Formats: sequence, C-alpha cells, structure tokens
Amino acid sequence: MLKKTSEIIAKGVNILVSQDSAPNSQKKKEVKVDSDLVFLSNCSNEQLQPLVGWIVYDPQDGKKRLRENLSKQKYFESNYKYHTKRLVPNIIEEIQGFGTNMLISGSQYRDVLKKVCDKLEVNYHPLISTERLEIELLKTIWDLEFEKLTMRDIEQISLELVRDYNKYTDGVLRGASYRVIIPCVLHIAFLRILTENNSSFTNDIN
Amino acid sequence: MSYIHYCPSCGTEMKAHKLICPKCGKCCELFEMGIDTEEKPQKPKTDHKTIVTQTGAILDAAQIERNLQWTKYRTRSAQGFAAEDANAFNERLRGMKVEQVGRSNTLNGADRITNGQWIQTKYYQTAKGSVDAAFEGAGGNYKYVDNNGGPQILEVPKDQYEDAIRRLEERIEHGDMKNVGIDDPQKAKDIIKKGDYTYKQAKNIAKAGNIDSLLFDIKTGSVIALGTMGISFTINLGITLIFNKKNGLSFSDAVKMSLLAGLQSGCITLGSHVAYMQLIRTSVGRKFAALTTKGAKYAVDNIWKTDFGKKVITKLAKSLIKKNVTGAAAKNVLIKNIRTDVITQTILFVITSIPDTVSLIKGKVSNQQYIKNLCVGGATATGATIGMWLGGIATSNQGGWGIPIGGLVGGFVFEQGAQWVGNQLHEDDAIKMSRLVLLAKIRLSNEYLLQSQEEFDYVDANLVHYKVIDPEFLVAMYAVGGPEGDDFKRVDYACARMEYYFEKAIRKRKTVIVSKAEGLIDSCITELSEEIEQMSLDENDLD
Repeated sequence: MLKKTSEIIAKGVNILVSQDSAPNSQKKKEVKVDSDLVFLSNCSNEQLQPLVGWIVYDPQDGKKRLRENLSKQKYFESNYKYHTKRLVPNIIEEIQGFGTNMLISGSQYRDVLKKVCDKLEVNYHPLISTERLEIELLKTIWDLEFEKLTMRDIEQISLELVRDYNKYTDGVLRGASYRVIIPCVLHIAFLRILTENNSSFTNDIN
Repeated sequence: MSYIHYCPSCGTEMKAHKLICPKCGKCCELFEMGIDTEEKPQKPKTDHKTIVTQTGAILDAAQIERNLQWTKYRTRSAQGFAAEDANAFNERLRGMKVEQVGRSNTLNGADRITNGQWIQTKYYQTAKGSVDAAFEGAGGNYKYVDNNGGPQILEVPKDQYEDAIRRLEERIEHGDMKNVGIDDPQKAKDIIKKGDYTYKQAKNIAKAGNIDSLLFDIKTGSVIALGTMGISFTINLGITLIFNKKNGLSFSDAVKMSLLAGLQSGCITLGSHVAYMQLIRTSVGRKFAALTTKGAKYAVDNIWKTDFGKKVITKLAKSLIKKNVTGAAAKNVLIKNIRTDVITQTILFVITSIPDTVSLIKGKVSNQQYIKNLCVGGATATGATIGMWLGGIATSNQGGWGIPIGGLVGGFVFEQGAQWVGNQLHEDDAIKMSRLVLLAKIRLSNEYLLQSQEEFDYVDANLVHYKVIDPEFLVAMYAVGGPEGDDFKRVDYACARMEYYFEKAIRKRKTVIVSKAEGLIDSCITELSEEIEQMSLDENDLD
C-alpha cells in the first residue's frame, strides 16, 4: 500500500517537475522515476544549489565536468539561481548517469547510494531502507552529534573524500564517477535529514 | 622590505619573510617557544620504481645489443638488417628458438637458425632482385647451403612472396639449384618463406620517425617493459603488505596500487626504449653513440691490460650474451653494452627528471631539492649499472641470472647512500614545510583555545584520517611561498587548510546551557578571576 502511494507521488512529482523544468522547450524528456529522490522537489533553491554545483563543476579546478549535461540545458542559466527546483528532474538524471559508466544507462539512486556505501566501507543489511542506509553512511563520516552537522561539513568532507580519486580516470575504469556521486549522495542524505524535520527521528539516530 | 631578523639558534641573518633559517633549518618561532624541532635524522626513502626502471634499462640495453643490429640500419642494405631483426623478433614472440648467427659474417652462412632451420633473409626492391641475390650471379648456383647440404630457406618481403616463388621456379627450371639437389620447380614454395614485413615496412623500420619504426620499437620494448612491470608490482606489493599495519591498506587496495606502480614503471621503461631506438637512428644519436663508444673503449682497453681485468671482462661478456666469448670479441661485447647502457640510462634519467623539472619551473621545489633529486637519480643509475656488472661477473657460469638482482641491489644501495649524503647537505623541502605545519598547528591551537590532550589528539586523528598533510599539500604549501619563499604565506596556507578540524574539535565540546543558575555561575567566574589575580600578585611579590 505504502509502496503504491509513493509511486503515485513519485509519478506525480515527476510530471509536475518535468512540466515545470522546461517551460519553453518543445521536447519533454522522460526521467526515470526514482521514489527515493522525490523529496528533492520539497527542498529550497539554496539547498539544491550545492548539489548542482557538485554535478556541474569539478572542485579541483572549478571547470565544468566533461560528462555532465545539466549546464548544457537551455534553461539552466535562467533557472540555476532562483528556480533551482525546476532542475530537479535533470539533477536526478545526472546522479543516475554518474552512478554508472558512460555506456550503460543510469541506475536508480539506491544503487548509487550502495556503491558509495561500498566504497566507503559501510556495513549494512541488503534489505535496509534507503533512509536508514543514508544515516549509516553519514555515521561513518561524521563522528559528532547529527544536530551539529552542517552543509559546510558536508562540503568539507566531500572535498576530502574526492581527493582520493583521479579526475581523469574516475568513471572511466571504475564504472561510476565517485568524484561526483560521493558528494551528491552525502548532500542528498543531509538534505533528507533537513526536510524530514523530525526531531524524534534524529534523536533516535543520535 | 628592509626589516631583517636573526636566527635565535645559530645567529644567521634572515629576511623579514623567513621563518626557517637557511643555515640550520630551524624555525625561529618554534625555537623561541622552546619547542624542540630537532627531528630524528631523516630516513632515506626508497623509490623502488626508479631502481626497477634503471634495472629495466640495463636489461633493455643488453637485449638491444643481443637482438638488434641497429648500427647497420644506416647502411645501403639497412632494410635487410631491419627485416632480419623484425622477423626474428616475431618468431621469438611465437615461442620459437631463434639464433641470430648472421652477425658472425661467415661466408654464405645463415642469417638465423629458427628451430634448427637455416634461414637467409633477402629484402630487395623487386622479387627478382630478392631471389637472384641468393645466386652466384646470372646462371650461377644457389649460394646458401645448410648443414645437411640442402638449400637454406630464403625469406623474402611479404609483398613479393608470389613473384619470388615464380622467379625461383624459373631458376630451378634453369638448373641453378642442382648444387643443392633441387630440380623440381614445385619445391620453390618450400624454399621461399614469406617475411612478416613488406619491403617498404622494412625500409621504414630502419629509419626514425615513422609509424612502422615506432610500432617495431614498442613491440621490442614491450617485453622488457612487461618484465619491469612485473618486478615493480611484486616489490611494491611485498613492501605494502609487509608494512600493512602502518599504511592501513586492504589487500585489494594494495594490489591496485601495486598494479598502478607496475604500470608506471613499465611505461617509463617502454618510453625510454622507444626514445633510445628512435634517437640512435638519427645522426645526432649516432654521434652520441660514437662518442660513448670511444669512452667505453678507452675504459675497457685499460681494464684489459691486467690479468684480473681480462678475467672480469670475459666473465661479464659471457653473462651478457649468454655465450662463451674470449679476447677481442669479449672486449667488443662489453664496449657495445656500455655504449648502449650509457645512452639508455641517460635517456631514462632525462625522462624521470621531467616531473621534477616541471615542478622547479612552477616553483614547487627549491633549486637545492631539484639538484638533490637529480643527484640521487644519477647515483641510482650508476649503482644499478655497477650492481649489474658485479651480478653478471658472479654468475657468469650460471647463465648470468645475477644481472637483474645485482642491478636492483646496486641501485638500492647507491640510492640510499646518495640520499643519506644529500640529507646531510640539504634537508628535504618537505621537512622544512612540516616544521611550518607544526607552527600553524600551534597558532590554531591558541586561536581556538584547545584545552586538553584529547582535543589535540582528535584534531590530529582527523588530519591523519582525511590525509590532510600529504606530500601534495606540502608541495602546494612550498609553492605558495612564491619565488621569495615567504614562510608567513605558507603558514597562513597551512592554517587555512587545517582550520576546519580545529573548529570541529571545538564543536565536539559539550554545550553548557546557562539558564536558572546564571547568577551563580557569574559569581563563581568573578571569584575565580579574583583568585587568579591574587595568585599572580603573590608570585610577583616573591620575585
């Protein structure tokens, strides 16, 4: 029952955001439904902007990534600052794409999250929920109370973690671009905590 | 800036922007704080990749001398020699036993013996030319007879194969091969062997700067490169696993890292081989080779004068070509080997010093560090060569297996020695930068009022966990100082890099919420400050 409801919501949001994202565009791109990322449409522009930043730019030199398509969208420039929400379908598509190599079509967010967890040696049960897995991931990289975790911490930790991956070989040999998906997954996990806004839940975590 | 200051440790005059004394290497501020910066003597680091690639270059030089006739690539029949080398190399790759006996210049002898079959290579412009060259002029007999009195196999260019068979059939019909017992024209296809290369390709192989010669060089270099890769992988994996606890790497990570290190060594060896082979095909390369031959000849002639020298040269030559040679032949083997070795080592030295040179241009290393690195590289090459010779002499009767081991050991010993001497003369830039990192840590500790050892340890653990102070960071820190070497900028850079972790340590503290007992806490603080004030006054009175 719950699953069905989330799917309906996911489809609804998907249609909503895809209509919203390209108002002037004739072509409406079909985005894979990813129920785990539906909540992104509830985030503010400010919360989504760093996510877009990680997708589009490489922190090493600040140049645009070769594989990203987000900034190539016609409506990217006009929406980036004040209507970032409109880019949510493209953000999801990019994250799914960076989770696999260039030849295979994108994988679901949960698979991307699992890849990151495996890379960062997080122990988890295969049937663990996505939300819980994100918490387990955050626990491995953050050793203080969750209330103290800020966006700046996520950025700093992401910067440290991506240094281990070579800019030019990342995504070519490994299948997934860890320089992109590690920061994105950490960011999404953090955003989920923020948007859940459930104190009992966070207290339980701590 | 006119302000100058003096090193509190040794009194050396220092510029305003300097914190590290250029003479004694101590940090002024740390010294004044009473922090002992007297580190343990630097342990020489082992760069096994350099040692392995140097050994690879030595083995490559021996292989080049054994299998290739590059000195003849400039003659009129260069394509013939190139074809001989290239076809023989392909047969070796196919697992055949090949002996290049043609170099002995025996009259009408075979160019090579492959799996017991005598082969004569003839690469001429036309099929007629290639076949007729095997006969004693027009209407003459077949020149090349094998050890059983039969004809030697005649290898011709790939593109002339069919025409060459037809031409040989004509010559057999004419009765020109009766001297070797052949009168059936059908046997022509058994005598003619299709070479792996066309006439044009063979011509190109003898020249520098074309695809054919590059491909040939990559092919011939890849064998040694694979060997170097394997040695490098094994050594790296062994070292990583031995020091597993220290570096905290998993087995799969260790394998991946070792594979990358091996790949790097293999690529360097291959690159230097290709560069060498291309260079010696040019006139500049030839002149350089002639010069080194002259020097090698002078050295070998002088060693040859003594009985001990003769023995040494003979043994070494035997190890190098895996054959018994004596007298002038042994001397020649060694001269040629030294010549090739010197050139390959020089090329390798240039290739491996490129990253350091780029860093020097970008201001990422000091001049002294650059010279030190070059000297260590040069010493490693020399050590590997000497080690190889000693290994070759010691194992001359056992097939010369000591050559690579001697090269590795010699390279290691000389590298360590050169680094030790270098450390006595000039400290590594990284050591100096780590002193400034310590200073930056002290500054941040004061700024963030770290209060307990636990907090310091927490910061240190985070810095280690996220590999903040890695060699790359130290290089960047050095570069930040600019051409003037501003140590203050470097400390600021280190502070900016580490600040986050100090802030995090502060956030780890428990938050005290002052609510109802606010007045009580205030009075306690006032009381405590008065007490401290009184204590300091008492201390002053005692003084």
